[in-house]
Amino acid sequence: MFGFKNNSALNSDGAAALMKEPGESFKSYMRSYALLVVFLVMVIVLSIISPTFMTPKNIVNIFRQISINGILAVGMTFVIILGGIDLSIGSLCAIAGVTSAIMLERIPGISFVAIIAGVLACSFLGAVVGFIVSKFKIAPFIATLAMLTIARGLALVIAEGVPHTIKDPFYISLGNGYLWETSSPDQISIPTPVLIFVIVAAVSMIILYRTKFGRYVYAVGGNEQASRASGINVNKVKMMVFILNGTLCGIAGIVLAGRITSGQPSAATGYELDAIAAVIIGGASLTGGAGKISGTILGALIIGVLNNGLVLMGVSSYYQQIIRGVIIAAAVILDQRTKHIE
Amino acid sequence: MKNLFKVMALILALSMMLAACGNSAPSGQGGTSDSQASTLQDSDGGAEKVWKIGVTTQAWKHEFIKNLVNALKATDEQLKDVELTIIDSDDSVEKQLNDVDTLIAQGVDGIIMDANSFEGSSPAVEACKKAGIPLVELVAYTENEEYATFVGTDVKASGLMAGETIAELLGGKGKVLMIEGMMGHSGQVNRAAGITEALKKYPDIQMLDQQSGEWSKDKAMAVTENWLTKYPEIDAIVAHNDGMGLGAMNACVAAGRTEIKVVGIDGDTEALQGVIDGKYAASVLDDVWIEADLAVREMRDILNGAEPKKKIIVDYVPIKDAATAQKYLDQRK
Repeated sequence: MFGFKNNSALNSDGAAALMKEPGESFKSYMRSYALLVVFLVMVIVLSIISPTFMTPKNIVNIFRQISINGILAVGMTFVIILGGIDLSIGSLCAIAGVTSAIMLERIPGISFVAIIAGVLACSFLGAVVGFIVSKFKIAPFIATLAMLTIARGLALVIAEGVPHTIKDPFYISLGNGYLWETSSPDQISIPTPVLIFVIVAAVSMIILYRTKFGRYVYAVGGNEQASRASGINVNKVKMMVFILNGTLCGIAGIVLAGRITSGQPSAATGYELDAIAAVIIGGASLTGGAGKISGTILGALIIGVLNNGLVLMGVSSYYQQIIRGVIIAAAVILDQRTKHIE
Repeated sequence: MKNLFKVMALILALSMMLAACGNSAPSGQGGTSDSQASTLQDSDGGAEKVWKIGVTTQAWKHEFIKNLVNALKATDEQLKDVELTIIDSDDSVEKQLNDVDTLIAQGVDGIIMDANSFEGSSPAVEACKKAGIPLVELVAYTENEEYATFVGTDVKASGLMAGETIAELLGGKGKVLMIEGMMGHSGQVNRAAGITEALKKYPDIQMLDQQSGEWSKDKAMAVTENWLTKYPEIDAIVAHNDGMGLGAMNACVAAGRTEIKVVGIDGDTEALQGVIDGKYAASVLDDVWIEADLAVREMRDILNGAEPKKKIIVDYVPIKDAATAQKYLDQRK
């Protein structure tokens, strides 16, 4: 499940790699095992230090807390497997929130339409990035850096600089709701964002592992030249990945807006960093061609558990930043080491 | 496998580090070691009840919030029957909501929130209500007014006071520029309204231009540099916070335009020092020491069964002379 793609094979021959099932080799078990060990040790240590940590309510909290970053990180996984990176995702989230909030403000009661419009706005901006990347051969780092400020500016323009309150109960329930209502504070239920995250992750896994497009993503990320030579429409694959990623940003942006009951032009600032961190901890390679959604989910969980645990222990926010950085570095070092023993 | 052991050792070392950090924070604040704290809890009824209060604030990277946190810690140390857990939301509304959930799961008796967003932090009010614990809002409040009490200032009053101070410094006549906060932030909206309203009373004061410095010193510096080349005649610059005011001051000093009077809001340490040195015309001080103290005491009273006061408004203090500036500076040591 937590397997890892045979990276060297892909790099040497992208076309041949198309024939391979991702994540079947022995080494993949080794490394995912290591990552799982990291996670379990963290959980054990935190439950010893903090009596609250393992309570059902706190576990529900953790899952809700990772949902938005999780959705973004799944989208980022596609981009990173493709050998790219997306810095604009936080700004795109803000676009989805303000667009839908303002539509709802103008015409109340059309929450479903407004939400779809918010998501599609992000898909469109994703397409713009994809177009720039594939047509003009601009590095995704640069294209999305440009989109980072363009989309943030657009969000401020659309919202006229101010947050717009969302009053629609359905919209709010996407961020704050539960699958079933509880009568007392002690009962637990599954938060809606968690359900959305699970659906997003499942659909993305099917796309990445069970479709031709998914294999093309690995192939283009592993060796673009070889992929082109073997007849893959590389530009189309890139375009599709950025549209998919934009759409997931839109979904995350809607969940966030529901959670904070408003469309805020300044929302989700810096979220790209947490999403990239989750993907990297999850074992994807920044050079492309390698990465797994299951790894990314584990990465998001590690970040979420860490954030939650540090707050429970009352660790000063200054130390929190250091500790988070150390964990990211440690995970990548671990990643390198396990590759070596193989 | 050898590597796995290394990794586990690394993680163990890291978790020990975590444990050390985690333990040092409350013992440093409460003045009791962990073992003492647990014996206190064990001897049921023997000692006075210690109320556990969770506090969530805006980002500590802002000096104003850092002062607030220091003030809260001082209050925590002073009051023996409360124990504060103070958490940095790092300017993320989502993190603030998550932290409130975490505090509730941890079983705190009450929550004090310095709201990150007027609209966005409202779900925290719902969460506290659902958990049945009181919520006191501090410095910044939420759209959802179902909290017990708000302790803070009337933000518009700071703008009015800053505007009045400018008018006084200029003798009711001159050319003024305004550096605004992050557009759409309640501080920006209300302070701009206050300053504009105060200056409206003086027909000879002309507002040349207003631009956002996004609460940041270097952005304000850049804005000011542009203005200095654009406008040959400037009498005063008013900024929505001291960070930006200090940026404007630096730009004026660098350009040799020291005749320009700079007024800011908040009462940051560097601004007070600037007033003492005569480089910074004035600051409008938001007295977080009093606000923090009142908020914690209000929460304690509510937990002890008192009726919530709903609203406690603290007045701003104009800092125009070195003596007053020194007085507030000494308080922070």
